[in-house]
Amino acid sequence: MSEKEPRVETGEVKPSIDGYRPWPHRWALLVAWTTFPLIWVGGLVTTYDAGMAVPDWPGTFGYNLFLYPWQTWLFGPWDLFLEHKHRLLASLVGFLTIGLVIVVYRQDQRPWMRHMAVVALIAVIAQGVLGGARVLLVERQLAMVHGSVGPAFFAYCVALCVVTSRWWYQRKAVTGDPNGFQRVSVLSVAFLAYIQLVLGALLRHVPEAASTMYFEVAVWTHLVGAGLLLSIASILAILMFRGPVGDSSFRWLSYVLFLLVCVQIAFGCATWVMKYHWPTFVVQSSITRIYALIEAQGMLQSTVATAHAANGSLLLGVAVMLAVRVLRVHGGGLETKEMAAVAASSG
Amino acid sequence: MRKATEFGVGLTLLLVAGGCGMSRYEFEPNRVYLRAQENITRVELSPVQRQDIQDILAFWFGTPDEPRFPALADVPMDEILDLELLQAAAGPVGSEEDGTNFGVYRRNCAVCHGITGDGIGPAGAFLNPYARDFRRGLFKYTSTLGPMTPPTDQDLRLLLERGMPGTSMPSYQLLADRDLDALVQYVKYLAIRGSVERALIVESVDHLRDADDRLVDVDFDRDSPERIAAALAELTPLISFLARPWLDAPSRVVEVPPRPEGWDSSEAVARGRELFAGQVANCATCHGDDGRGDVDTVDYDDWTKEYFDPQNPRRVHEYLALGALKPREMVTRNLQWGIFRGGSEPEDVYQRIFHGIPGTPMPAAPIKDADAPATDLRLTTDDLWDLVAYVLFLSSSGDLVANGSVASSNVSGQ
Ligand code: HEC
Ligand code: HEC
Repeated sequence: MSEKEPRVETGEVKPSIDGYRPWPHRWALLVAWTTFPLIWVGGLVTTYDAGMAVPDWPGTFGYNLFLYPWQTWLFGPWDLFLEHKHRLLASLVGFLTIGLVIVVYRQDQRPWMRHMAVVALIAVIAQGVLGGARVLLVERQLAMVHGSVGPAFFAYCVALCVVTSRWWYQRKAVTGDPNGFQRVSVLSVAFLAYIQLVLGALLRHVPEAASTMYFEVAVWTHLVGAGLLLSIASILAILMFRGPVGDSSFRWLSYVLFLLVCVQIAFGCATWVMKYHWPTFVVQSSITRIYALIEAQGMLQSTVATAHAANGSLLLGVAVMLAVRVLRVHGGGLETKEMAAVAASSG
Repeated sequence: MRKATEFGVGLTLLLVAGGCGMSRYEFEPNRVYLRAQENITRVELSPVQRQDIQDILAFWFGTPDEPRFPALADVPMDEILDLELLQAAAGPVGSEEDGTNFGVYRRNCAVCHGITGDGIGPAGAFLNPYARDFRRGLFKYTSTLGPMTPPTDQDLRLLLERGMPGTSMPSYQLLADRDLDALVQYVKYLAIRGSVERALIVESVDHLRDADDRLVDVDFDRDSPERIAAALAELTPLISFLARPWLDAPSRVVEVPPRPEGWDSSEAVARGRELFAGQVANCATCHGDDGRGDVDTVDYDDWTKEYFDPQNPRRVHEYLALGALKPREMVTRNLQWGIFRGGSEPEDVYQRIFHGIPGTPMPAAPIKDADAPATDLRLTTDDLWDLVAYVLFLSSSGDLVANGSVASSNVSGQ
């Protein structure tokens, strides 16, 4: 932490709550970390267009999901492998979420926290049904919705991790963000990061019969979104670097965020070039010799596209983490109710 | 924040709804060509006449989900197209447990080439060069004699496997054998269907003088298929005429002669350089002496020239409104880059020089007959090999600089 520390008091206070129980947080972390690769694999399913590799649901080629012969799965076609893996992992997240609800009900007395856990369960079930409907109705737009709920769920899990953490209990609201700039900017970064993920899913799932206009609008919106995200993330990082921040974690989280946005933009450009080749404005230069031939569904193409999607979710995760933390410290409001609840539970 | 959330939800709904409206998979009518023909003949087809063209096509060729082709008396269509493979390429994306794929065209090609094969898929407008419009039945990289002769199955198959470096056309070598065969069939299907549509358009604007005239007098909704087929019989010669070249294509393949002894020697390169700049081969007029292609010529490919007249550029707006893509200049290749869309083996380059590149300004080389008198200035096959040697030499940049044989050896291009 910086030496010339803020005149403004930080939100850090002595642990005042003895009632803190770590298990809800641990479960929430488990769910979040399992959801992350799930989005990754889900992304691969779209990259390889494997969504319809298993035509039935919830079964797999007539087998119960968990009884599907593993030899056929592991040594069968690649898209079948992906889709089945996606389903298995998704069920795991489902079970873990059930576990989360149980743990929260047993260990966390905050009523809103319990509601949040139940909402997570409902969301995970809805998301599973959506995925199933996509397969049964052979509907690509559903795939798109499914693809955008995935990251939203992940963001939600990250929020759960923050509100169950010891950090959450140890902070109290301060007035370090008088004009609300921090709050507005972290919330817009989180919001933009999410919109970008949705737009990205839209670009990947573009219906083959869509007009060029549809695709162009989606591409330009995605680019404008990237520009906005980069601007806000850099302003945020600069302000956190220069001024009082409210909590030491804000500073490094905003640096990480900025870095992720830069990496994300680089991945995005690479994804485009590897799928659609060099855009018109570089076509006539010698750079194009470096990457002259596209290999459809090649290792490079798929890896970069998936990295772009996965880094997008990571970015969203960090943005949500920062946003929830900032709201905790600068938000007020929640504080009193919740302290009362925790006090009630420990009392 | 609530405002922002509402906006986000709104945008999402809008895009999703927009997407939903576009999941109808239908062949698009060739509006641009129709308008071009209407403008030439100054005849305007009535809605019924336009619909007839689409109905006839659907009757003969089916839909994107269920492709078919008519049986003809004079041309064995099933030797040109394989129905089973066509069906595997058509329809929605899916696969079976044993890895058999369906909807291979939609999965792999439609983003660029479009459901109809018009080169106007969702991403079509971003590409440079634009993706091929198959509907003319005109292809650039063929091994067959004559610019209007279609490629062989083998040509298309090879093209899919190696892709087209320097363009967004990918290599599909990772696809299963059967999928590649299915795609070849489907490209041929779209090409034949598309050219039959063009023929029907020409037929209509040429012969229908009154708004009530029709190509055929049937009711496509009510009449029996037999009755429709009988009524359409007089039009089937159109299909025969357009499909037969596909049947004959293999017999029109020009074998590349074996590389002569010392074909890539420095003498061969020197001779090639001479020819390249010379009057007969005339390559330098377009490609420049050093092959960099920075000669000042503005030209367009044949697909574009159909709706775009460089002399009269403003008229293009009429076609853009009908969905045509903004005209892009045809760029003469910089041969120093060493990127060959039609393949970079010496034999591939030989074929390019021999056949030219159909649909582009690049002409076929003038070739001397075997029994031509010595005074005939046209090229021999050995001359072509010398040109190949020079072209390949141009792109091996290192030698170029070392040799100092090219005046401006700025290898990097621009
Ligand atoms: C990313 C965009 C893209 C995709 C996907 C794509 N193509 Fe292409 N394709 C192109 C472009 C661009 C060209 C034209 C290049 C040129 O004119 O030099 C082309 C040209 C072609 C040609 C014409 C070759 C010739 O000799 O004239 C064929 C045939 C073709 N593509 C078939 C396919 C098939 C089949 C698929 C799906 C397996 C496919 N393409 C997928 C962009 C694409
Ligand atoms: C009228 C102009 C013109 C002339 C004359 C001409 N070319 Fe070209 N050449 C072109 C254009 C235009 C292209 C690019 C075509 C495209 O992008 O589809 C091209 C492309 C090529 C290519 C690239 C083929 C590939 O696979 O990508 C080679 C090689 C080539 N020309 C060699 C020659 C040689 C050798 C000669 C002389 C015998 C010659 N050209 C004469 C216009 C010309």
